[in-house]
Amino acid sequence: MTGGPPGPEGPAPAGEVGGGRARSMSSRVNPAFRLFQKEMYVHGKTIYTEIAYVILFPILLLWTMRLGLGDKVIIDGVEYINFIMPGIVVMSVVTTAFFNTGFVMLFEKEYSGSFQGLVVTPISPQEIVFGKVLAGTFKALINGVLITLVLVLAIDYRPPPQALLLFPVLFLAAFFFAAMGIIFGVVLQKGYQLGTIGNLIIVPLTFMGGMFFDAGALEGLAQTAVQLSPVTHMIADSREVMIHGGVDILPGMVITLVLCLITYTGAVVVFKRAVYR
Amino acid sequence: MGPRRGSRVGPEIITRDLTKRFGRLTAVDGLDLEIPRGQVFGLLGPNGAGKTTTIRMLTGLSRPTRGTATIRGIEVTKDPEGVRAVMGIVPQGNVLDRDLDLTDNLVYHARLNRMVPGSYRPRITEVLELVGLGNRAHEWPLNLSGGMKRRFTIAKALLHEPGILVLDEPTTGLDPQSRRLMWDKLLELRGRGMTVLLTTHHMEEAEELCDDIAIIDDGRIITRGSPEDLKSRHGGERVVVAVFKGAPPPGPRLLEMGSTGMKVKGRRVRLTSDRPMELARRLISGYGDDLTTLSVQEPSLEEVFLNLTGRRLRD
Repeated sequence: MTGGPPGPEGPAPAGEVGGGRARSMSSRVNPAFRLFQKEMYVHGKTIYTEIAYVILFPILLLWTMRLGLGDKVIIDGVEYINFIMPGIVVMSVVTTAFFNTGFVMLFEKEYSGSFQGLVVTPISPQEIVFGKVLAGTFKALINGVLITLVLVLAIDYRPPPQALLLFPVLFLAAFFFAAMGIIFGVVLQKGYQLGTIGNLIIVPLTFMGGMFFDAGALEGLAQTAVQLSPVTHMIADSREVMIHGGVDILPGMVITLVLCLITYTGAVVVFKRAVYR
Repeated sequence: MGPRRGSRVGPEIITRDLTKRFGRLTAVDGLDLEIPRGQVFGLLGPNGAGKTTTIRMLTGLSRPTRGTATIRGIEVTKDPEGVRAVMGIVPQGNVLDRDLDLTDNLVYHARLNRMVPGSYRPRITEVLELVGLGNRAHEWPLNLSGGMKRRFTIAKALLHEPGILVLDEPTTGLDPQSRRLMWDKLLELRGRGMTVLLTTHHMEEAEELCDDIAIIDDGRIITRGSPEDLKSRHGGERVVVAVFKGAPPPGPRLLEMGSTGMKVKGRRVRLTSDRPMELARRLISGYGDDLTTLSVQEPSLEEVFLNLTGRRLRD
């Protein structure tokens, strides 16, 4: 840890409080990163509670599908089990980002003292939102990596080299939904409300975004509607790099990046209005 | 970042016409304050008077509708984080993170205040000892009593050695023993020259701790002064109550002893006086054997509030 420059007022006279002993050794590390560190530390202590779900859910889903469909169904030249894999990864990432960040924000705001303890420190609202969104993003990414590893092991999935591009795709997807989690976590007051929002909006978005079918094959208004959903592009880009070994993901990532900036800005505005009234 | 350059000469906290409105409700109305360095200053008022709203504005957690607030030369609206860096803030509720033990809570708080390990490691031990929690460094928040949690909140606020300590209702919800312990800790800090701003609706707390008090009601300061000054100016009469074994002495004799007024009810005599202690001494000297009880009743801040507003502080 680096120290900062000497304090402007020098050391304290003997016996005087608030004279600046601590001020002469000031860390340059941004408080947003400290917030991120703490959230990841706490997450690390409880991650074992999520691993069972993260590992079991995709295995159960895919084995069930394989049992029922075998290799009879082919979509876009790909066996159906492989076709739905990217959607499962994306769904895990976006739901983790949204629910984890949203519930943490809601719980701390409504029930725990830690939120009050945070805002009374010299950390700005922008830094608080950034730290929490970043933590939510990385928690979701961890789940995404774990699920991908499970897929490699459980269903003999062999990722092409282009699959490495999955990381930036999932990062932006997680960031977008973590920022959404902040917005709803700030605005709502009860946990079940967040659950309702997630189950009625977030999960259907992933289903309709091409998780189980080729969204590009839809026509007319249905096609227009799914193209308006950011999840459609996230799943399409994930499928492109994971299954087809392609790299044509720039347009989708640009759209997601713009949405990330909009939702992050929205999260900061909503947070400031709710907390710093 | 860290505490910013500010003036050590002159008041630590200055507000000019500080006002906060929520829609049609004016929570704080035109507050003018100057709090000098090293003083323990109390904002005394009933629930809903505007105390917490004032604290939130002074700590940069709420933007004033009008007016200014300056902390050590830093204008709050321009640099709220800089203001919070020079303050230790103890909010009304507890601020413990339940996912971390006490030491980790303080480490996290230190890092948010940009302290480096070389400075915060020894400081953590110091502040825990200061609040009497030195033997609970690795205790979990859920295992602490209410009084311990409040003391820990003070430890957190002191960790980065702020020049100003701000406490919002520091002993609300505590039992009398815990409250007394908290007062002792705060008096210790006063002895070290720290500037303290506290809000309270407990008059005993204000009298015990504060050098200077502003009484606030409906968002406005209605009077200000030391506890003694307020009682002297607004507290009404000082009273000596004497209960005699038999019939009380004749009224003129009692008035000659320095009483300004008298009410008799059976064996009980209520005497008003500008110098109640002197009157009490004369009564003991002249009628000591005839007295059953003798008490001197000073006006209280409750009476000050009642005389100024027509309501009790606890209404």
